[in-house]
Amino acid sequence: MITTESTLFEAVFMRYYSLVYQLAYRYVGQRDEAEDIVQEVFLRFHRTPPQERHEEAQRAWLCRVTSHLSLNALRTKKRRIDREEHIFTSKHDDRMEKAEAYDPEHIVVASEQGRFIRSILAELPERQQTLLVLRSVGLSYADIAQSTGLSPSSIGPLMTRAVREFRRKYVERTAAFEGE
Amino acid sequence: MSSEQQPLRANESCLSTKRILDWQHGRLTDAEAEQVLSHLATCSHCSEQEALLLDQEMDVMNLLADLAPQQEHIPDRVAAFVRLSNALEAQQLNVPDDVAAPVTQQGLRWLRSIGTLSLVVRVQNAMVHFWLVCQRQTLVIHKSIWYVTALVLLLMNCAFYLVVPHLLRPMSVLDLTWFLVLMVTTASMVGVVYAHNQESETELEIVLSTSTSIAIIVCARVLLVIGYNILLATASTIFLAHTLGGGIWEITLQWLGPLLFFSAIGFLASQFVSAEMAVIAVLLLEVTLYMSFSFEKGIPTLQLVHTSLWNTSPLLLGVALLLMACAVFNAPRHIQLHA
Repeated sequence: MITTESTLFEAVFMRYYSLVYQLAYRYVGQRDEAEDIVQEVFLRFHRTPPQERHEEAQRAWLCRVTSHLSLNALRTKKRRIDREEHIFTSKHDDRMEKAEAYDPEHIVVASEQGRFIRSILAELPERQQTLLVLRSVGLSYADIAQSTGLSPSSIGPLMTRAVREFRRKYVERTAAFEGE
Repeated sequence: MSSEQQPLRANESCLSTKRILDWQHGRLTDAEAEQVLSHLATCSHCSEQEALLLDQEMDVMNLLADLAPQQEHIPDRVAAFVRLSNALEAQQLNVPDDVAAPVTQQGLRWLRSIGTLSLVVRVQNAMVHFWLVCQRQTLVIHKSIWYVTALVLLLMNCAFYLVVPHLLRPMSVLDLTWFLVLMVTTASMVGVVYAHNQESETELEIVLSTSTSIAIIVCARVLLVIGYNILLATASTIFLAHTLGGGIWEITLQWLGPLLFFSAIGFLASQFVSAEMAVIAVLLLEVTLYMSFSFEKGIPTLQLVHTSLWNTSPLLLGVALLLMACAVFNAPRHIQLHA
C-alpha cells in the first residue's frame, strides 16, 4: 500500500514539477525562491493530498496551492522590505539598494523586461495576478476556474478585466518612461 | 499595443463581451454557438470586438511570456525529487521518540525507502546524502586529528632524513619504508579510534540533532580519517621515492594493506573498550608483528622485522573490509552523551 502511494506521489511529482516550477517562478522571479515554493507545495501534497484523485483535480490543487504560496512569499518580501526601509531611513544607500527591486524606473533602466513586467503585475489585485499567471502558463479557462474555485462563466469577464488593467498600466508606465 | 477601446454595443442585437468570451472558450451549446457565429458573420462591430478581445489577451500573454524562466535555469526534476525526498524523510523522522520508537522508526524508514524511490533515484539519494554527511563531519571532527597526523608524519620525515643519518647511520630505502609503514598505520589507527570516540566530543550534539543514523555518521568519519591518512602517506611515499629511489607503487603496497587492517582493528576494538585501551592493544599487536625483542651484549633491543606477511594483499584487504563492516554494523543506534 505504501509502495503504491509513494509511486503515485513520485509520478505526480514528475508529471507536474515543470508546471509548478514555471508557475512559482513567474510569480517570484527567483530560482531559489521558486524551488523552495515548489518543495513546499509537494510536501503539502504528500501530507494532505486532494480528495479527488483524477488528474484535473490534482493539477488544479497544485496550481491553487502554488499561487497561494507564491503570493504569500511576495507579501512577506514586500512587508520585510517596507519594514527595513522604515527602520533604516537614515541609511540612504541601503534604502536605495533595497528599493531597487520594486522601483519600476530602475528596472526599466536596467532593461530587464521580465522584472518590469513583474512589477506591473504586482500592482494588480491578487486575483487578477493569479488569473493572468495561470493563463500565461497555458491553462484553459476551465482549468483556471477549477484552480481558483471561481465559476467557469465568470472567468471570461474577469480575465478581460485583468487583461485591460494590465494593458492600461503597461501603457502608462511605458509612456512615463518614454517621456523622461 | 492597440488603442484602448471600451466595448460598445452598436444595437440591441449585438453580442455582449461575456457572450463573445463564452463563445471563444466553448462554453455555449451548439445552438447558441451557431447563433453567435451567424451574428459575427453579419455584424462588423461584433466581429471587430471579438478580434480585439483575442488580440488584447494575446498581447498581454506575449508580454507575460517574459516572466518565464530560461530553459537552462529550470532545475532537474530528479535532483529536485531527491531534495524533496530528503525533506520528507527529515520531516517523518522528527517524530518524538518513545521506548518502541527505534525499531518502529527503522522499519518505517525501510518501508519508505523501498517504496518512495525508484532504484536510480534511491542510489542518487544515498550518494548525495552520504556526501553531505561527509562534508558536515569534516567540520565536526576534532581538528587535532588533522593536525597531529600531519605533524607526526612531518617530524618522522625530518628525523629520518636529517637527524638519524647524521647521528647514527645512513638509512636505506627499506628501513625508511618500514618506518613509514609503522607511522602511517599507527597515525591512521589512532585517528580512527578518536574520530568516532563519542565520549571525547562536545560537538556530538550536532550528530544527535540530525536524523541520519549513527552508523552512517561513524562510517563517514572513519572513511574521512582513513582517506586523509592515505593522502598524507601517499605524499610521504612520493617524497621518499624521489629522494632515495624506489617505486612509488611498491612502497604504497607495503603500507596500504596494514593501514586499512590496523585502522579496522582499532575501529572495532574501540567499540568494546575505551579509546586508550584500544590504541594500546593495537599498538602492542603492531609491535609484536613488526618488531622483535632480543638481547645484544646483555642490552635489550627492539628490531624491525622485515616481513612480507603484512603487505597489501586481497586477503588482507578483505579482512580489513570485513572488520570495518562489523564495526559499522555494531555502531550504536543511539549515542549516550556524558554529562
